[in-house]
Amino acid sequence: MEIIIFLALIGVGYFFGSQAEKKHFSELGAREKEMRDLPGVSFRSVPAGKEVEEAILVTGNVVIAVDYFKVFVAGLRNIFGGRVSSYESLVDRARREAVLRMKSEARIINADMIISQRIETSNLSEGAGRGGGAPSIEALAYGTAVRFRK
Amino acid sequence: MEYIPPEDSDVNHNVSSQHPLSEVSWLLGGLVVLLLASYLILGLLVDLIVPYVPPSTEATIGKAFQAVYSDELTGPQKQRLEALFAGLSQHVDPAPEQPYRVHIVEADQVNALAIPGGDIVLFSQLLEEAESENEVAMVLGHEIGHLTHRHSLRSLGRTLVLMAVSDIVLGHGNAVSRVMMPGLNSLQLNFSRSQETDADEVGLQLLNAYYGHAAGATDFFERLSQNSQLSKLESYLSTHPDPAARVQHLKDLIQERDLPLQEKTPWRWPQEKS
Repeated sequence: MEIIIFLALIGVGYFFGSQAEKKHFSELGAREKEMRDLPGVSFRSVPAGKEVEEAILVTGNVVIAVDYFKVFVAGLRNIFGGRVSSYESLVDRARREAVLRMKSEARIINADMIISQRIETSNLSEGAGRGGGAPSIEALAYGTAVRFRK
Repeated sequence: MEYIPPEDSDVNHNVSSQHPLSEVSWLLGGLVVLLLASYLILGLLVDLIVPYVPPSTEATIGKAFQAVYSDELTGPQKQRLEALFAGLSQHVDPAPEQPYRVHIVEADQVNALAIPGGDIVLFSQLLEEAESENEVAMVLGHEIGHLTHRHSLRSLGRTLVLMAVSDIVLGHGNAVSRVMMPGLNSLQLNFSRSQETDADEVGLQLLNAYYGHAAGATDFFERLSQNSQLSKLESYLSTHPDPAARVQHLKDLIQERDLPLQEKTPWRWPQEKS
């Protein structure tokens, strides 16, 4: 009985997880195209010769949950070692989504650039009680959105 | 400085391109190979170690399974079986350090167990269905054979190894262990076909030594092979495979050794009060 539940969870995880992931990736691609004229850079200051008209702190964060299938694959991976590729796509999605949300916020002031862009991640499930529960990953992107005087 | 937006690219360098299902298949396959390999290697180690385990240690291990026969039948019924058992045990060569003991447990099972350390358990259904004393003696002799060959210790060792391996790899209390735990607790150990054959040979030899002839050696297994659909017998079948082949082997042995076949001793169970 428990094995059936386990297999069902993995099956559901794989089916819905991979659907959601596929959809998210194609969305990310389209939105990144849209935001392409708004660069986010890690410089600590604006490029020489530009005068800042307005600057605000912008943030974007996102939490993405792991599905059962990914946890299962990662668990198997823990036995043999190597790249945990089932989690790689999660980190990638979280990072890109967070940056896009940050950029959306920067659009409010019609920013030309985001400087000092930083990205942080954390594992939300750590210490959340249920030992060994499915983790979810948080990505936080933040930076200073600046609009140059034209 | 001019900002040039990057070109469109479909390649995601941050995500591995391997399909998740193919990764799972590789990992699962590797896990199975790993489990099998460690089971085989550790199982071989068990076989190497077993001959060097002193009987006192085996007896200590067997004590862990006293619960199996904790509510055994006593009284005249046990005395009768013990008399038969003692007669058979006399012919065990070489004689065990500690004499073997027999127990009857009331249960709806046609089955018998040999516990490491020298305890043999018969379930009462087997005694009720027996048609001759010789038949019971053969079953007892068979179980004695498991003990003299130390099959029970070996099988127990292998079962423990499998549980240890699965616990290490899959975590404590995993599905594999859970499936095997009840079997281990009640000592429903699995013997290989060659172990069964070895035990049958000891049984036949003891039967012949005790009665002076080998009648009844195959009766029990013959009934098993005829009634193999009967669910009561299924438990016996599951641990002792292919009764028909065993019957044939025993018949061949009787012919080969030219063992006499005479009148069987009648058997009644439960005994009438006299």
